[in-house]
Amino acid sequence: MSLLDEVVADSLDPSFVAAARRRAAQDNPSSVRRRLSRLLTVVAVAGIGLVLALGGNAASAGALSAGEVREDLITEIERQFLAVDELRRHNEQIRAELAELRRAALSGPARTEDQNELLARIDRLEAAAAAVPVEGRGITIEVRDAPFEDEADFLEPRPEEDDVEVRRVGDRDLQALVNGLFAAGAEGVAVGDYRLTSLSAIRSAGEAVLVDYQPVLPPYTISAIGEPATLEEAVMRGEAGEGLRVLRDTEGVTFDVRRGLQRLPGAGSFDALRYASYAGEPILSSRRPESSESARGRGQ
Amino acid sequence: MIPVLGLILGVVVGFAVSPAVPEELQPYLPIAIVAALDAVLGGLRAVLDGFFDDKVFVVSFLSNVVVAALMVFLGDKLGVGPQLSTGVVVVLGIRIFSNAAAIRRHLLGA
Repeated sequence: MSLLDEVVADSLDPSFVAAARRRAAQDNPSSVRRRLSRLLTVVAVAGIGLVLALGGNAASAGALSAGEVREDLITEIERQFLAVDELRRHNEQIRAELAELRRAALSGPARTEDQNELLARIDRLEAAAAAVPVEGRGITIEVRDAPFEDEADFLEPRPEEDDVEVRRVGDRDLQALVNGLFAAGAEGVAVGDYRLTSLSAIRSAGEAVLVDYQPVLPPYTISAIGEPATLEEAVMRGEAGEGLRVLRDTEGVTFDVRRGLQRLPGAGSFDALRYASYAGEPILSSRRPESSESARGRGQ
Repeated sequence: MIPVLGLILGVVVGFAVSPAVPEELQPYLPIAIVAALDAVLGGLRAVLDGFFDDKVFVVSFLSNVVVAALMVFLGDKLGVGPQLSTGVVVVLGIRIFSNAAAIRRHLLGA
């Protein structure tokens, strides 16, 4: 305790008092001396001001640089997204060319029954696997989260209101909706720009929803091709839209359904071969059986 | 009066020129700021009490800054950096408060 007493009592530096007494006891020091001391004081005080300003600068610069780093990261992310999109487009282009070549190889005036059947099979399977774009009557569902004040809050977890965590539309809700649409007879479904295939996954990372590892942002647009009346009924009153309706009534999520002509993108062909079998006589000439066998070994 | 002008001049120059603090000195900037604030208030109180002396002011300010920086440096080397810094800041803070109270009494009270 005496330490604290000392600190408080000594807050006026005792040297000030002692120096004052000494000054009173002796003659006035020369004015040059006094001027020098005064100058020293001014310099010291200016130094103090400088230090304070430096501190202020450092503090504001720190806050600024954090914001800059974030901005830089965001710019970089957007740039890479664009690059990925470009590569994907390029991929699609090459796939389309391959499909054309395949079709050309299997067509032509001298084509056989087998070739015809193979071509028809490819078409059927591609359509079923959602590999190719498809167009038809259907519905579009737009789902919007409950409104929030600040866009920056979007990625923060929602605050708890009245001890109930306000929920945003999440991956499970979209999964239920999409599954319901398929169950109601949809022939093709896309979420945002991504066509759903038998291998598609709708997941979430934090608060963001990912379709096939691609993020989608609200408002979520789900397009489905099928009998419009049936699909709309399934969403508005049937099982497909049940989860969505509960969200609407309790969390302030809104959605609307529109009928119309839908054009769904294709998901592209799958890169990895999962099933491959020896095709018998090679359809493309000038291939010897040995090279087909090695092809079978590769395409597993 | 002149010292006050000097203070304002220092602040203005600091903001206008915005010199970059060298990397090695950056850890000591916070403690230097607290010591500077303590010196300013201590000097102000001495003036109001009638005891101000230029030499004492300069010497005490410089030595406070040096001792505080030494404590930070020593603390970092010994691994007790945050604790020692806290101690320095607490003591200087108490002095700041006590001097401010005395100044307040001069300006508003007795």
